[in-house]
Amino acid sequence: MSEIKKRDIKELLQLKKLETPGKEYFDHFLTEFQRYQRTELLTEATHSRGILDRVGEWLFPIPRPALAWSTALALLAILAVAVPMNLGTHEHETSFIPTVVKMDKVVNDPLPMDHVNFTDSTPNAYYTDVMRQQPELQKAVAYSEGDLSYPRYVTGESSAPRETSLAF
Amino acid sequence: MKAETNSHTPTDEELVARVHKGDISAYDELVVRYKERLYGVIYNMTSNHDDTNDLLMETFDKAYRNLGSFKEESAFYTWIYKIAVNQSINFLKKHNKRRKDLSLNDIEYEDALQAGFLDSSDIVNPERQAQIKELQIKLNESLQKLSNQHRAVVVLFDIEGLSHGEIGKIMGCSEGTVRSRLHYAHKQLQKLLENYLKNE
Repeated sequence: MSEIKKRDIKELLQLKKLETPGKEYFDHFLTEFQRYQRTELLTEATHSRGILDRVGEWLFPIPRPALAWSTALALLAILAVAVPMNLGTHEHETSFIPTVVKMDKVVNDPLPMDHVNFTDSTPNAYYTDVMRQQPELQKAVAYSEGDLSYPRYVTGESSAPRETSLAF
Repeated sequence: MKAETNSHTPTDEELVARVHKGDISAYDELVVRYKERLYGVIYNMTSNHDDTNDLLMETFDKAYRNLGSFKEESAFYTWIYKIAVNQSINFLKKHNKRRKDLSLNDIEYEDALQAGFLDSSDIVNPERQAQIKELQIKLNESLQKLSNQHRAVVVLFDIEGLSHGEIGKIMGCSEGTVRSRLHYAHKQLQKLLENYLKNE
């Protein structure tokens, strides 16, 4: 068997130039490359959307309809707490707490029966007598029953004008 | 190495300028112009046709995406060769394996005849063709035993025919380094391929 002619290293490496994929490969290369680029663009777009979806799922693990409902409920709960608090603040300015305290006192404290002059034995008569003997209670009762349009600070027998600068 | 400058054949730089202006078809011309040369660089680095095909696509794709940052201080061909070499080296580092899975292209026997590897009487001689095949495998195995940097220098100088200066620009090193690497790589190849080499 005859051997291949021996060469120097540079000549031998020229054999590498002869290893080619063939003309057909290069003829179709441009088309294949354009297809590759389009596929890459599509893959990248899908990946980006996938990443956004994953971030969304990580931030909001609950499905979106459920999230909408829970957000709406949370908002309602916040409103339900916040609105009465606002109203409460306003109400506090106009409420007449001393009346309540005084009425409680009226109800709970036993009346000094010996100073009461009963003209009638019915409950209404008793009430009328009490009011007659303690006239400062008349306005308080009237306010608590809604007869007065705005509260009055009651000190003794006469009502004091409402001091708006003290309002909080 | 530069594309010929005449009224019919635009230079690389002119094609790049056209792409910058939005003429995408100009890039197709660059692809057609460089596909075979870059295929040779990548194939001789990897000794695997399938990997070469993927890397060649990636190289042209990467070059296209980065064409906006291409400065005309350097020639387009050194720039795109650099991308091809870096893509190949990164791929080989990533896979970090002794490339035993060679997927070699067939040698064109007509070309082998013209290059003097075969005589006209050998072209239909199966025994001689088997010898050529064996030499091809041995040559590729020997190249794969070189480091990536040494192999790149051999491929660019001995197979692609670039100058030391051009290789220095592509590899990002001095001409002296290129010469030194080339000398070392040749010595290694001579040891590995001594059965096929003339005694010096």
